[in-house]
Amino acid sequence: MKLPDLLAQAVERYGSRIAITHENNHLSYEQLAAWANNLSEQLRALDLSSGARIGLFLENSSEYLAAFWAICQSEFVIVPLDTSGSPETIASIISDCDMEAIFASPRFRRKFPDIIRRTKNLKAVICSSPTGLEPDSIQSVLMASMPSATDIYASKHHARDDNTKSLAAIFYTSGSTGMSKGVMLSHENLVTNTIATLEYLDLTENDSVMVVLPFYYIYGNSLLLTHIAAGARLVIDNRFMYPELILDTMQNEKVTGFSGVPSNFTIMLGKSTLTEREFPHLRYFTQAGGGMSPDTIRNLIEAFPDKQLFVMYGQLRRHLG
Amino acid sequence: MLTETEMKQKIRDFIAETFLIGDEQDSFENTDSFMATGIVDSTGILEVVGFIESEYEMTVEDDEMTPSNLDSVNNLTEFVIRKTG
Repeated sequence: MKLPDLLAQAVERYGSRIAITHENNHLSYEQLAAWANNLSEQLRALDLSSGARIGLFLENSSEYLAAFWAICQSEFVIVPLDTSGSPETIASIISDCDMEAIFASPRFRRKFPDIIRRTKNLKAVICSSPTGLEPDSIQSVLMASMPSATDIYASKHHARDDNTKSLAAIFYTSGSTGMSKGVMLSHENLVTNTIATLEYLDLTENDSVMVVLPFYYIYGNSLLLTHIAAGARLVIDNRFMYPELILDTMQNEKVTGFSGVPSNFTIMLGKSTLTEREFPHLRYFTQAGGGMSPDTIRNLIEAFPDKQLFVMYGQLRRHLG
Repeated sequence: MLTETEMKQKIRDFIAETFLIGDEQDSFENTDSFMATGIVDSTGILEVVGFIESEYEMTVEDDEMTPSNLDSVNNLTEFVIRKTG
């Protein structure tokens, strides 16, 4: 199985169910797949090399997911980028992997000229509004917008290479020990990990996860893949700076899961009304991305004795509570 | 007792000196959302709260950690005045 099969299966089984909730917008599996198809066509029109690297310079959003699936179903390679990265860092990654096109959010428009100036082989920037870049410096493509709920999704069968060992994505490390390094992951790597994780968490189409972690982190990417593969729902909220807003979203959207790195839990336990609120729909917490202090783990378990906590960091995945 | 203008300037200086460098320190408005502009992040906001708590001898309750209270120089100033006035 390759990555696009995860989405294709979910669409077949759960087409009309909601895949993504973001800022009160809901996108069904069929809409997501239709959008990904439209974006694939845009990519194919660009005359890129076979197996070209395509960047994702987008905050967590429906656009991110549509572009993500468009890239992998077009047999290109996904390169998620840290949206807080400086133009220098972004440009060095673009050069390092020989990236040919990039999906970029208009939010980061200020950084575009500096990035483009530092790169050679990048051919196109795909953006949901005009990039303002000089046409002779690079091709700007207006990103196809979200299909409406009434658009009919037509499943397309692309003739595909079925080599599961082929490269699917490159994740760059944060570079804390020097230059950031690209970690190359095959379809098989990602699919195997996704299936193992969703079985382990016992995810079903009735689950929904509060997403505060960026998808460009491998842990955020794992949330994306496991929940789409399960036909579940990703509830995106990028306002973790104000944890009260996240807690409101968790309650309003009746999420069944919350996934965080240690600092998310430290902040929520220390400076929010987390423990004063009721989350009757919440089933589990997952934690990864670093070792969490025993005190934080204990406080979380004591505050939520009826929820499961999965500590997914380190060689052993422990199951507590 | 500081005037509102002085208080606002002091809060603005703290934000500029803590989170911005060089020319950036003058390039934001007192109405700019910290979240939308990315000036302050989720750990940074805790520094902001620590600053107003010690500077103005007040306590920010957990349920007061909201954008309407904290998300710009103007909002912070009005919040401090409401709490300490």
